[in-house]
Amino acid sequence: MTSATMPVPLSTVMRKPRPDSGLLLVLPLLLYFLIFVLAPQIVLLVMSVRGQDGALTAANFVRALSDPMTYGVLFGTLRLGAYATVATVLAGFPYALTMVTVGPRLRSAMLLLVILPLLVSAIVRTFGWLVTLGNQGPINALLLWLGWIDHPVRILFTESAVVIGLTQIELPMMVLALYTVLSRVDGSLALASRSLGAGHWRTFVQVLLPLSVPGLIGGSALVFASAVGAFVSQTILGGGGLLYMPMYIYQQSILNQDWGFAAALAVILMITVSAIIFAGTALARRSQGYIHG
Amino acid sequence: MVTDRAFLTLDDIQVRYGDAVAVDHIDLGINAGEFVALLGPSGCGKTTLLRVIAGFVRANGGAVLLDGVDISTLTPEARRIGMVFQNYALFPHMTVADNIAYGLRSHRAPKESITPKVQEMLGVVRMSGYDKRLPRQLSGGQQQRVALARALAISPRLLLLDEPLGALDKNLREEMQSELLRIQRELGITTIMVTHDQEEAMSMADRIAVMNAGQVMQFGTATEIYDAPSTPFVSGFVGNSTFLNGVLGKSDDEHWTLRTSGGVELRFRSAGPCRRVGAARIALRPEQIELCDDGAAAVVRYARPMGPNTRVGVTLDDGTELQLAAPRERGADNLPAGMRVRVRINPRAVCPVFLP
Repeated sequence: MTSATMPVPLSTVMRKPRPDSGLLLVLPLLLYFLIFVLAPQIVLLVMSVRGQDGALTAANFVRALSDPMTYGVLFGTLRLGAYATVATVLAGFPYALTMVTVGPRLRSAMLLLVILPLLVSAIVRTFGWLVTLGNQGPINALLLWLGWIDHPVRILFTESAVVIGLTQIELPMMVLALYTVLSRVDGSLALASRSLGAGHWRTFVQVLLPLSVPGLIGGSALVFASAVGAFVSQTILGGGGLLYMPMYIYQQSILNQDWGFAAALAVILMITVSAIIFAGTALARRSQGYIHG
Repeated sequence: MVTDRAFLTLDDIQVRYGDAVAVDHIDLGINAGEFVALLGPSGCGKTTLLRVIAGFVRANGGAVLLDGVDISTLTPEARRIGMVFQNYALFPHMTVADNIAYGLRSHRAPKESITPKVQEMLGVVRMSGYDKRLPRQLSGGQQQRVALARALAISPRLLLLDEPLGALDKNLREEMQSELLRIQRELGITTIMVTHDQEEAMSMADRIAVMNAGQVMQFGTATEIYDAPSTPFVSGFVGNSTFLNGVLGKSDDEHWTLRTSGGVELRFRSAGPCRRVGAARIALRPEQIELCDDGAAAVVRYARPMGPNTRVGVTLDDGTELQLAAPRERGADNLPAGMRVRVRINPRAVCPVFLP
């Protein structure tokens, strides 16, 4: 691949700005992050290690980590994130792959179809699923009409309902991440693979899949982190019988007014999710790091 | 060179994209071991035709016969046809050795045979010792060699080259031209190369198929195509011709004349295909016209040194503009614009003549 076929990076087109003006350009966002993102995290961290009397204590963490319920809820939440991630990969990969193979007009239509749900609030979409998955909803009606079931099955307020809802809500992230990477894969690689005797499946496994690893990592990190913290969808579609970390933290802070314990739970969730994403990224980088290096 | 039965036969191939005709009823027979170039301007259908042979494009009509067997309905992976792509299309996440072994593994070659075969192919393309490298650690010419080794490793029945040298700079291109030819001759593999570069086609191919607008305009050796183009298109595409309209007349046994509408008469030898007196059109290459005291009067428009020759633009008295290639030793560089000269068609030059 020659440099002539690659898009010219913007940095080489624009004159390199002086270092100080470069810093100036990122300043607004940097300030925003410091004040509204990083600062609350620090407050949270401080809160988690302070007792009722204000002294430094590990009591909140000891309580959280010695309580089996913490592990139960945390595990359930992570499992939910994993299911949603796997489901978006399974649904999103074929879609993204189709997008790069079809003509430009159909591609725009497919892109619009993916982005469209992003323009509707996640709460509205969740309520849509509430109706769809209900006992009197169209899914049960269809299954009954097909004669596959005798009486409505309970989908709503189960883990399946939350996974189904989150998959649809998070799908755009996965498709966009995969499409971005796949569209940069040279189309003649697949042709070369086939001319060398590899069928569609082998071409996919040996060529397209390894080359889409960066997109898989990026998309999975986004979907996983987002699904784990999807308070509204988890609560509405999961109902009262299912407890996930965001709701658990909410209960402890707002309802129980136990801010220290809630903060400790939040820190535990934050560290666990970050560790999983970091480990996944590092692992994939190590095995595939040479692709775009 | 022509055998009873061609090794690869294209029988009435048609490809349409919607209303656009990419390949328009092409018939072509290519012999075993032959190196054929598909030459034409962009959009003439040459790459589409190559993709039909490779199996990437399904023709709307016609058949591809390889060694007498119709392969039109076979998938690309079932054809065992090696292909080198314009941008090489090396798998960026695999080493050179894995790239070359890819086709062997796809064809389920015995494990113990793969490493020796990879080493053998690296030797053929003179890249031994590079097996552990990744494609992005190689130069363009080296990537080209690896792409060739990868295509040849599967012992293909046919080798297809899609503008194989287009991305290389001039010096490297000439080196790779002779390398490609050496390997092609060594292995005796039937090869089809797509190119828009007439010099490349002429220096490499046994036969050239000149294509335009989805059709083969002429199929023949470089000499045939250059000296006896069968259509004005071929004449114009191969070798920078200027066309002159006029009235054709017979001068003597060997020579013909063309009288332009402005009354200038030029004398030349005809390569055909038009061989009757009357309105006609001749194609003139710059090297077929010379400065001569005994010729038609003209005025110099410009003189540009171009390596061994000077390209001189002249206007005949009737307004006809011609280009001629004058040897530099005769001081052609110093012809000032506006100077009056005399030009004629070289008596030994053979000019193609077409119906107007």
